[in-house]
Amino acid sequence: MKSKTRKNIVRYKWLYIMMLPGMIYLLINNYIPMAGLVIAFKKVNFQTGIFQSPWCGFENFKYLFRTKDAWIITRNTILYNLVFIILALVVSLALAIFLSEIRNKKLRSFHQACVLIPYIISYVVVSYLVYAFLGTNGLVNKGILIPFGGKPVNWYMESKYWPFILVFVNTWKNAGYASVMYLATILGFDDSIFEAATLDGVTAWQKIRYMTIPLLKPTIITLTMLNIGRIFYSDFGLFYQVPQNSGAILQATNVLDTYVYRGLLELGDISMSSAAGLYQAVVGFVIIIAANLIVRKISPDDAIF
Amino acid sequence: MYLKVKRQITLYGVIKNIFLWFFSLCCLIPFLLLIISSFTEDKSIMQYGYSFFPKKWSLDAYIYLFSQGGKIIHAYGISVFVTVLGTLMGVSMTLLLAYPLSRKELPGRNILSFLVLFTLLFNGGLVPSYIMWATVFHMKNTIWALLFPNLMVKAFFVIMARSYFQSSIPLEILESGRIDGASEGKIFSKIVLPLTKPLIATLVLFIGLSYWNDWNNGLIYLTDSSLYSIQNVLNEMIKSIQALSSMGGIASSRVALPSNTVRMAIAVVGTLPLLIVYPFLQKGFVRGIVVGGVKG
Amino acid sequence: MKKRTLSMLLASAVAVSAMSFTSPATVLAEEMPNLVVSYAYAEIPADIDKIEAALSELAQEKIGCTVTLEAFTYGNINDQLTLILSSPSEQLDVMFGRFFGTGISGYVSKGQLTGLNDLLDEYGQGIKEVIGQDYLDAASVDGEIYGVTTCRDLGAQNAFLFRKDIIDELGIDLSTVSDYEDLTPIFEQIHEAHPELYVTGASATQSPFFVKQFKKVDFLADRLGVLMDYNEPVVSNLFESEEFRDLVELTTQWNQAGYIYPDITTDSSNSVQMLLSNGLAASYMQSWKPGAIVENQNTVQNYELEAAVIGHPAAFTMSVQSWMWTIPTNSKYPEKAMEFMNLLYTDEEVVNLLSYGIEGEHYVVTDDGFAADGPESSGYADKAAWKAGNAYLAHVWEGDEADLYEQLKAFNESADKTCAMGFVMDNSSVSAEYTALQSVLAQYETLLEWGFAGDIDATIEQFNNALYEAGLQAYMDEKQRQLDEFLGK
Repeated sequence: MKSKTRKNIVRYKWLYIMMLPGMIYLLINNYIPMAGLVIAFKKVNFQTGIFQSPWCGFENFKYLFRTKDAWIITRNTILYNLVFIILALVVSLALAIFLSEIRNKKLRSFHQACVLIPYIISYVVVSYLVYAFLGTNGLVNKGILIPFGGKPVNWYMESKYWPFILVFVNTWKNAGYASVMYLATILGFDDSIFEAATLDGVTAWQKIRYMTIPLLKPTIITLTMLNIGRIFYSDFGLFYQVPQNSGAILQATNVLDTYVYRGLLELGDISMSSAAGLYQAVVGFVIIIAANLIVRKISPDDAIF
Repeated sequence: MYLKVKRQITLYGVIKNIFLWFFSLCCLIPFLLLIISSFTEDKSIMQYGYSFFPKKWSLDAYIYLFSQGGKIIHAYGISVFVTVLGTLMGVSMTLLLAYPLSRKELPGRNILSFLVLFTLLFNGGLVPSYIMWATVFHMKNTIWALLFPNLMVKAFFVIMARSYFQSSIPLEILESGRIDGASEGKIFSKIVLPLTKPLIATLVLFIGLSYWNDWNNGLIYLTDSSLYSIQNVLNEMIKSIQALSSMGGIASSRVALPSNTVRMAIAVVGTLPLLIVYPFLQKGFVRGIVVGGVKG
Repeated sequence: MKKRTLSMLLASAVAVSAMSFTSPATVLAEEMPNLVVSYAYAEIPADIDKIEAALSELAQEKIGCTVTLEAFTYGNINDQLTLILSSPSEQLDVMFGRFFGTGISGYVSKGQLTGLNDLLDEYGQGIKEVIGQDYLDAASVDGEIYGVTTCRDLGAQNAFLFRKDIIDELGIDLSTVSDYEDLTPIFEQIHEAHPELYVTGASATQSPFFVKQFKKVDFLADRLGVLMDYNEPVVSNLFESEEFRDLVELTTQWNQAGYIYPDITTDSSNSVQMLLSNGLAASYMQSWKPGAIVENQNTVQNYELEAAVIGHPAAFTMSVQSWMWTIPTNSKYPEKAMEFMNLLYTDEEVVNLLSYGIEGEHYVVTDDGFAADGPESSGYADKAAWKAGNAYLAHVWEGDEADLYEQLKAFNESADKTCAMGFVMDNSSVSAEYTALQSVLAQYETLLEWGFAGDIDATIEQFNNALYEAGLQAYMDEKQRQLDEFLGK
C-alpha cells in the first residue's frame, strides 16, 4: 500500500509541480498572516510587540455579544445572505440558461454585456444612483409617484421597504456576474444530446428540468457551498453606503460588518476587529464542514474535500 | 451546423424574452443615467435632481478631468498594466492549481483541496498582511503592491475551476492521452486547455475585474499618488469629500472639491474600457468544441 | 511529514517578519539621519516632491538631517496611520495625526506614541513657549505629554452662515442671534420670502447637530456621559436632559415647518457648501472662529456669506487633541524628531513652506505682507496655515484680515476652559459597551437632532432605554471614576 502511494506520487510529480506557484502564493498571502490571528486574544501593546503582548482570553470578543441587538444583527446577516444565495442562484441560473439559448451572436453579446454592467460599478457610485432614484427629489418620487397621484415616500426613513430594496440591489448587482460561471459550464456541454432531444419533441421546460439542471448540479453545489461558507460576511458597501447610513432604517440594515465598523470607527482597535473576523470565519467554517458532510453523503463526487 | 427549427411562439419563448429584456434594461437604465448625468450641468442636478432629460447639458466634468493633466491618463496606464499582468499570472496560477485538484486519483487531493478552501474562510486580517507585505517584502509605494497582495489566487476561483474541470473533462480523454504516452504536462496543455475555453474566459473576466475594480490595495499600500490606479483616483476624491465635510470647519482649505458630475464622469471613464474589451472576451464563450472525435 | 515541513515554513516565515524589526540601514545612516514626517492634505499636491526637497534642505541646514515627507489625504490618513502605527518596524519619526473621537488615550495604551516630557525639556523649548504648559498638558496621559497641538482655533463655537443677499434683502439683523431659539423667526421670514429654498442644510456626514459645541455642555469626546455644565465635573446623560429635549423640540418644529433640507441625514454626495452655492439652501451650520467667513467663502461660489454666531466659545480636550504633532514609537530618531517639531513652532521658513509652498512659485508675498497666489499656485493648491505647527509665523493669506492671528489668539483666550481640560477617558475596560452604544447612537441621534422623530417623547425614551440596555450606566460610571481620579491628582 505504502509503496503504491509512493509510486503514485512519483507518477503524478508533474501535477504537484504544477500546483506549486498557486500553493506558494496561498502560503505567503494567506497562511503566514494567519499567525497574526493571535491578536484577537491579546491586549496588544506595540512597544512590547504583538507576540509578547499579554493574553486576554475572549475579552476582545465580548462586544460582539454585548448588545441587545446582537440577535437582530445575526438574524439580519443570516437571513439576507440566505435570500441572496437562493435568489442569486435562481436568477443567475435562469439568465445563464436563457443566454445560452440565444443563437444570434450579437444579441447574446448585448445581453451578456448588459447584465454584467452593474457588477463593474463600485458601491459608492451605486449608492449615488440609488439615491438618484430614491431621494426626496429622486426619480421614483418625482417621476412616478407624484405624476400618478401617489404620495411621495421618504424612502430612507421607512425601514419596511429596505429588505426589498437591498435584495433587489444585490440581485441586480451580482446576478449577471454569477451567471457567467453557469453559462460557461452550459456551453461546455455536449450539444448533440440537446439537438437530439429537440428533434424527439422534448419541450424546453423538460430539457431544463431533466437535462440542463442535472448536468449543472456539480457546479450549483460547489458554488452554493462556497457562498454558504461566507454566510456570516456581508458586503459593507451594500449595507452601509447604499442605505446612506440612515439611522431610521438601521433595524433593517444593520449586519455584523456594519455593526463592527460603526463600533470600531473611532476606536481603531485591531484586536477587536480581528476578533470579529475570526468569529465570522469560525461560523462559516462550521457551516461549510457540515454542508460538505451532507454533500458527501448524498453525492460524494461533488464534495469539496 | 445547427438544425433549423421552425420558429414558433411558445409560452417558454415569451417568458424567456421578457425576463432577459427586463433584466438587461434594469441593468442598462441606471448606467444610462450615470452617463447622462456626467454630461449634465452640475447646477441642474443639484436643483432638479438626476434626470434622463437634463435641463442643461454640459461637458464641464470631462473638461475638468482632462485639465487634471496627465493624472487620469497616467492612472489609466497603471490600471491597464496591473490588470493585464495580474490577470495573466492569476489565471495561469489558478488553472495550474485547480487542474491537479480535479484529478480524483491524485494522492492527497482532499487535504490539498481543504488547504485551499481554508483560505476562503480564514485570514489573518488586515494588519498582519500589511506588516508582511510592507516590511518583509517592501512593497509599500511600489507598483507591486497593486499586483501581489490578496488578488492573484483566490480560493473561490480555484474551487470553481476545479469543479469545472471535474464536470467538463471526460475521463476517457485523459485516458486516451495517457495511452498515447503523453506526459501530464502535454495532456494539460494539448488536450485539457483547449476544452476549457469558456472556463478560461470566465477566469480572465473574474480575475481581470477584481484587479480593475480594486482600490483597497492602493488605499493601504500607496502614499505616492503617481502610482494610483483609476479606481484609487475616484476613491480618493470621494473619501476626501466625506472626510472634509465631517471635519466641519477645522480643516478647511482652498481646494475646491470635485462636483457630482465629475464623480459620475470618473465612474464612466472607469467602466468604459471594460465594455470595450468585453466583446473580445466573449469569443471565449463558444459552444460545442470538438476535440479528437470524442465530442460533437 | 508534509505537515511538519509546512509548519516549519510557517514558523520561519513568522520569525523572518519578526526579526526584520532592525534594518541594516541604521548603520549607513549614522552620519546624516533621515526623518520620515507625515502630513495631511485635502488632496495630494502635484508638486509634493519639490516641497519635500525644499523641506529637506531647510532641515539639513538648521538641524542637520534630511526629511522624507509622507503625504496623506484626509480621506486615507486614518487607514494608513493605523496600519503604520501597527507595524512598529516601519519608520515614522514625526506624525501629524488625526485623533478624533477618542483622542490619544487608545494610542497611548497600545504603546504607539512616545512620551514627550523629557524631549520637550531638552529640545522643545520653542514649543513650550508658543503653546504654553496648559495646552501641552491637555494632551497628556498620567502626567506624560504625548502630542503638541497646532496654533489654530482651540475654542469651539457654532454659527449659522447665511446668504448675505437674502439677509440684506429682508433686512434681518443677525447680531441679535445668541442661541438656537433666536433663529426661528429668521428662518420663518426666509421661508416666507423664498419658499423655493430650504432654509438650512447640512451634509449627512456632518451630524450630529451640535458640531462642536452645545450650551455649556462638555461632550467628553464621545457624548456618552457628558458634563452638562463644563464647570462641574459631574458626568450625566445628555440625552435625558431637558436641554436636549428642548433642542429636539426646536428642530422638529423647524423640520415640520419645512425649513430643513429633507435629505439632510442621507445625502452624502453634496456638501453644504454645494447646496448653498447652487441656490438650494439659504444657510448652513458650521463651526465658528475668526476668519471663518473668508475660509468658507473659498468653497462657496456665487453668494456672499454672513454669520449668526451662537453662544460663547469654549475649549475642550478634543478641540486641542483633534489634530496634533506627535512622535510615534516607530521613530528611529526621537531626539531629531523633537528638534524638527521645534522648527515647526519657531521657524518662519519651514512654516511658510509647509503652509503655502515655495515662495515666488506657489505663492508670493504682496507689498502689504500678505501671501497670495503665485505663478505655479496650483502645484501646491492646499494653502492652509493651521496645520504646520505655529501658524502665527505664516503670512496671512490675502483676503483675510491683517490682524487675523491677533483675533485668533484673543478668541482662544476668551474661550471658557472646561474643568475637564486634558481629560480623555481610556475606554479599553468598557470597549464592549462603547461599541454597542455606537450602534444606538447611529440609530437615534441624527434622527432626533434634525427633527425627524414624529413623537419626540416616545422616541427619546426609546433612545435612552436602548442606551441603558447597551450599558450606558456602566460606561458613565467608569468615566466618572476616571474623571475623579484625573481631577484628584
